[in-house]
Amino acid sequence: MLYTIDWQQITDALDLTQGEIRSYGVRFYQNTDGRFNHIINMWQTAGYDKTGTVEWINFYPGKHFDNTVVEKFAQFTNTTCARAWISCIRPGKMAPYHQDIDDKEEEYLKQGELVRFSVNACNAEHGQLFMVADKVLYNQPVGTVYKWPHYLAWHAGGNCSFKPKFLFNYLGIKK
Amino acid sequence: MKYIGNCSTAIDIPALLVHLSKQEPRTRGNDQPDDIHANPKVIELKHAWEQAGYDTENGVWWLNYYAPKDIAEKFSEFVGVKLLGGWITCVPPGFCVPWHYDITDDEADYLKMGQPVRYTCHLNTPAFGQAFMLEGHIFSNEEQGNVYQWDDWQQWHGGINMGLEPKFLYNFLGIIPHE
Repeated sequence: MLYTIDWQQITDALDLTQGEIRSYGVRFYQNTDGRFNHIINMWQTAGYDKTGTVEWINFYPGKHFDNTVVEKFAQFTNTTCARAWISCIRPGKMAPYHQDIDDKEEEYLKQGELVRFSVNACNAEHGQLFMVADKVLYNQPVGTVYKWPHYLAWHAGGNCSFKPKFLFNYLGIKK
Repeated sequence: MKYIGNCSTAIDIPALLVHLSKQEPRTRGNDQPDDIHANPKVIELKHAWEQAGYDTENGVWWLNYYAPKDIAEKFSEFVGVKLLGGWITCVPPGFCVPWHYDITDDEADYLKMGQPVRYTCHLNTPAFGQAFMLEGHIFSNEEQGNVYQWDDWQQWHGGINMGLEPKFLYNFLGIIPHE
């Protein structure tokens, strides 16, 4: 079966002012039960709370872009979608070294094994990078799909280029 | 870009890092009175950064250290190229050096002397979240002491630190004199 997703068209249509900013003091992680506290403490020890550079902007299916993208991706990976979103990192900003948190993690795990994917959702630009575990992803074509070694792998993303960087993030449940 | 080798046997890098910790660095990136902001190329570059959304008042920030003379001479010997200049950059966690090419007021003088050659040496032991990018290449988790020669001293590059420890890079500019 052929799956066609025009990632560049999707992210070109996103309005950065309509996305949901995540940054220090701005809806910074829905840390309802404290499970992200160790990472926040780690970042603050390294000085990130004072740099003004920790920021990403989230876009959600059904709200900011069409949900059919997620449906196609679920078919492509033969998984059920637990969570999906597009993140944008503007020039000069970054999502430092961290693990993802999800308050519904236990609920997802009851449904099956979790798998995490990322997709480069914009054309490659020098100066944009993404790191997962021991892999560094750089200068990759739009639409390139990566399966993570573990859904909780440590990762980071940053942007020293002249254009916003977009990544499609997908947490799936194996069928 | 060409891998030259590892200079750890020629240069005591851990001792150099200890030496740097006692040196007062120069803050770079933001407006400083000693910077070369009158250079039209710098003005153009800063304008491009601002157009892209960089906060050039506060968000663009790194530290420069002087490379001790004996280290510069050892490095010159290691790469087999005459020393023109050198500096050590430190990018603390949470900062990036935006995409740029090196700009110097001395460019015309350099070109009269010969062909400038640019090298970078990774001074850190590998640390997650740190990267140096040189056009289409990315350097991350590099072994301490790895040395690379650039294809052209004016290549575009940038650096970022999304990790937990400072990132150090030795920048060496050499010259191959005109015959």
